[in-house]
Amino acid sequence: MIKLLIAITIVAQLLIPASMILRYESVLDHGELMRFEVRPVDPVNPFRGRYVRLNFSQERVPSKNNEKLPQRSDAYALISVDDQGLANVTSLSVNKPENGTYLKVSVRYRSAGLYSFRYPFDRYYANEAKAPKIEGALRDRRDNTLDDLKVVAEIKIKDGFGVIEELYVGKQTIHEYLQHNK
Amino acid sequence: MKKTNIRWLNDQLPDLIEQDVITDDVADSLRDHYKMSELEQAQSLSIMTIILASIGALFVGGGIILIFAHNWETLGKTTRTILAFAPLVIAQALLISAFYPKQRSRAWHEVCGVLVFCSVASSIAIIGQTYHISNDTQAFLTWWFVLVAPLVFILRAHLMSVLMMILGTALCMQYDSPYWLCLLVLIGYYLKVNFSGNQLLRSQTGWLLGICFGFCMASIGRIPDSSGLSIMLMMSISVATYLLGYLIEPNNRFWSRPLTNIGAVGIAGFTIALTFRDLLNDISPLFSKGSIDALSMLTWHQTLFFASLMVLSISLIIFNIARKRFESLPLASLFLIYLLFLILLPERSHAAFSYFAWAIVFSLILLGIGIWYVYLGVTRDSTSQLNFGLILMMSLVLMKFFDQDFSLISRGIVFIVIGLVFIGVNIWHSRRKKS
Repeated sequence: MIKLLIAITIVAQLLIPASMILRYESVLDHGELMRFEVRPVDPVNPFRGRYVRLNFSQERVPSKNNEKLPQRSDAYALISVDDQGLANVTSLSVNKPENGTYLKVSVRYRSAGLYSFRYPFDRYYANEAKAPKIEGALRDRRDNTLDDLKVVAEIKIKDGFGVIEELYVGKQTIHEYLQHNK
Repeated sequence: MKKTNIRWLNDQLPDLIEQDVITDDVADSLRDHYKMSELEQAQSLSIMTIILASIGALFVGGGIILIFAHNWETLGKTTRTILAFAPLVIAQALLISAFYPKQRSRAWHEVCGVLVFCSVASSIAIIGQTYHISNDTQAFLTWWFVLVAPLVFILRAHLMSVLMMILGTALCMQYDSPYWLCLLVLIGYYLKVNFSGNQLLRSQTGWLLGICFGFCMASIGRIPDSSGLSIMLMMSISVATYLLGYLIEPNNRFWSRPLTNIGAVGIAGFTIALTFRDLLNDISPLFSKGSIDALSMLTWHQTLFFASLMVLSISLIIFNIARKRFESLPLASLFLIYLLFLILLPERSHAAFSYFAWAIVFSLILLGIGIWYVYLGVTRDSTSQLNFGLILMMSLVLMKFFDQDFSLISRGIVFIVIGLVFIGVNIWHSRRKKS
């Protein structure tokens, strides 16, 4: 009995992290690429180290057909792409959309007819030395409207699930940008 | 005789002397015969090894988590994935070696437990770090608990189990039902320890578990929009803890009865709260629309938790009556009296007098139980029972006193009088016990 229990525990301990990796890799391989404009801030997590918290330019939207959404619950965000190639959330709904790109987000509260929500990807983990530099270097870029200085997160989305692929300043990845702007 | 049996006998000797079953001389002869002093010395050495090894493993595990938290982004995804699994696989290999080819020492089990506990967390954390995962604290903590939980029963690893108690309590406090399931795992561990025969481990685990229950009470015992049903659930948790303790903690010493004592304090505390009319005013009758609406809003796992606890508490009360263990009934019956109150309470518009009357009923019953415990303490020379009775009566007086608008001077005088009575009775009791 103990042999069986040990075997099940060990296999489960390996399978669960492995299934997490497979799920994220599947999104990165087959997901649809979307570019979100972001504003970074730098906090820390005791287990995963430093990360740059991404504030999205768009965090309050109406619900689809004025449907009532329960607060502190999950909802689906419908996504469209604008003329500049940036992704925008157009509306929220409790019902899973039948077509188009969508994301599962958490609804926080309702104010003035708009729902505040939280994206499922608002952390960009970075080296403990690099994270403050990213935040520092990007602080002045936050309100820049020029395309080549906008901070953009490239996200792969599949079945309502999104994974950050890379962070960009204009056309440079964040790592290239830091190398060129030491 | 087996070492575990000798240890058990060694633990029992002070109780046997206290209860006049054997004399000090007989106890010494038994100690000499079974070479208990040598065993104690060897045991204390092995306890030191276990403690030092466990602390060492905790540092190693914590170190691994911190090193990964640095974020080795230059290593690439494949290398980082291998790194995520490496400590886990090593810890699992150690875990297997704790049983095969032969059962290893307790220290080995402790080290394995802590290392697996830390490496499961680090492997999930590094995956989250690699893929920039957010908003998954609940999933992260839940998987951590679930993947380590079976080891609580397999390994002889106390430190890991204590860490699991902290993790399970944090989950229960932070998130709603069905996280009460975490408590079931912890109760399972306490039962396992209880049958192992190690007195120190048993009382330490019991007290920790009781403290965890206390922390979780507000979250697992809360039924939204119904203070009456919430108190019923919390009282039922206390009664189940008290009677379960009564069942599995036969030792009469205070420190050896953690669940019994913590459950008793819980029942007494909630009943003292029920002597306040303001609190009673917020309670709706059991079959009122408010209570039925609150019950209908519960999810199936909340309903299951609520129903199982009710059944467990009432079954334990009936079991104790059937076994003629009447001593546990005065406190446990407070739960039944509260149930009766919920059933008999009239609708709000006619209830003003009823609330007042019930506040007096609860006060009088508590006073009676307090006097009964003082009587038990004096007749049986039990300091803990005497003090429990005294604390019960004095808390009741203090609470009533603060409920009314008395001046600071009169409150001060009551404080002094209660303090003096408490000190005086305890001195009198200890002199009486010595003589």
